This record gives sequence, C-alpha cells and structure tokens, in this order.
Amino acid sequence: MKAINSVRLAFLSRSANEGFARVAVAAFASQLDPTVEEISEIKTAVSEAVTNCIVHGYGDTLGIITIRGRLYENGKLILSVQDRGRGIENIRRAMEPLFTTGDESERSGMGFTIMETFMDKVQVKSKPGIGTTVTFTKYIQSRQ
Amino acid sequence: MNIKFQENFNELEVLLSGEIDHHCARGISESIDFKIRRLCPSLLILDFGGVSFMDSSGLAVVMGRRKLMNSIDGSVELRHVCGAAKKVFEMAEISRYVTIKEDKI
Ligand SMILES: Nc1ncnc2c1ncn2[C@@H]1O[C@H](COP(=O)(O)OP(=O)(O)OP(=O)(O)O)[C@@H](O)[C@H]1O
Ligand SMILES: [Mg+2]
Repeated sequence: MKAINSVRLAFLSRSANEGFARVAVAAFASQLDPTVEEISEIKTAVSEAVTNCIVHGYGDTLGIITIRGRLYENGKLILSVQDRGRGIENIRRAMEPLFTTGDESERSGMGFTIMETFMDKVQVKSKPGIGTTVTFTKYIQSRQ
Repeated sequence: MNIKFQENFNELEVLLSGEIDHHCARGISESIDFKIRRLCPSLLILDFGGVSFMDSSGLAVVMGRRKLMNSIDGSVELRHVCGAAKKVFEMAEISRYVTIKEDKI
C-alpha cells in the first residue's frame, strides 16, 4: 500500500529537542484523528526512543537523530527513530524489562517495555558502531 | 516543568506541573533532594495533578527520591496520578515501592 503522507525530521541530539520531537510527531499523527489517549501513547513512545538515542546512542557526543513518519489510508502509522551512534550489542537483552546500561539513578530500563505496550509493533535494528533504528507501527482506530 | 513546595509539619509536598522527560528530570530531582536534605521530612508527597506528560525519566525521579527518603527512614506517597503517567507507573509496578493515594471520585 502506498503512503498517503510522509515526513522526515532531522535534529541535533540535544535533550531540549525531546519535546519538539514528540509534539511534531503528534501533530503529524493527528491527521488520522487519533484519540487523546492514542496521541499520548505515541508521544510517550517517541520520547522513549529519542531519549535512548541521546543518552545511549550518542552519550557525551552530539549527533543527528532522524525521525521518519508515514501515514496510510487504513489508519496505519509507521514511525522510525534513527541514530548513528554506539549501537546495541544484544538487542534481545536490551529489550528485557529493567535491563539498563545507563546510570541507575536516572534510568530504570523500562523504555522498550513502554514502547511495546503503547505501540502495536516495535522493531529494532542495530549494529555496534553503526547506530540504531527503532520502528513503530500503530493502528489508529477509525471513529466513524 | 514547574515545581512548587509546601511544607507542613514533617511532610514535604511537591506540586509538579508540566512535562516530565529526560530533559528536565535531573533538575527536578536535584531541587527535591535539596529540600529533603534541608527539611528531613518523614513523608514526601509527590503530586502529579498538573503533569501533562511523563515518560520513563519520571520513574527514575520517583525511585531516586524513594531511595533518599528511605535513607532518612521516611516514605513517599504519590497523589493525583492520572493519564499517561498512570500507565507508565503501572507498567513499572511502582506501587510495590511507594504508596499511591487514589483519587476520590
Ligand atoms: N539508541 C540506542 N543506542 C544504544 N543503545 C541503546 C539505544 N536504545 C537502547 N539502548 C540500550 O538498551 C537498553 C535498554 O533501553 P530502555 O529504553 O529499555 O531502558 P533505559 O533507557 O536504560 O532506561 P529508561 O528507558 O527506563 O530510562 C539501554 O540501557 C541501552 O543499553
Ligand atoms: Mg530508555
């Protein structure tokens, strides 16, 4: 199926852009007339993925984060969040609840669990030294 | 993000409003810790009534304050948790660690 609309967003991995990213994505998704709850789920998942790029992907360095969004006629929304940072050694382990390599006073290892709960599908592609791409699929229910 | 403090007897109440994410989490934690260290309250109340957005960074804010309160034999209570923040707290089973005061209907 062909996308009816698409966007690409690229921004520097500064934490001030976390709010910008989730609001921009929410505005894009709003074309599918989602509920308040669905919007909040999308915002939270995007915030988790973008924070991971900043904290784990780039760490003390700065890099570019790219978000791609596509909308389909049947209410399907596809979002991908990409960094060209450190990458993930063991993706399956990284996605386990409570697993974190971060500073324990600031991270709790719940990011992927939250993304998986709020999105219909979460797919992670990553290579150490190359970067990470997290892709979400979310079906926005029609309200007619 | 906006934080207001209310001190009553040996309770410290923190009224949070706005969005809690990684960008502001450290600042929130530091200002609450500063107050805890100065007042040594027996109960820390975190009021989420004005919070419009929260992600996993908010979990660490709560768990970190719980750790500090534990070290002074105090406890933590969450109030007015709703919407997206509520779901995030439920996923992390935060009620195993802190009291969540349910809203009256
Ligand atoms: N973009 C990324 N680049 C490199 N490593 C990542 C990336 N995203 C996730 N990871 C790895 O996966 C782990 C788990 O991520 P997850 O978001 O579930 O938890 P967290 O970020 O550690 O904590 P929380 O999200 O609860 O604050 C991270 O600790 C990190 O090791
Ligand atoms: Mg995370």
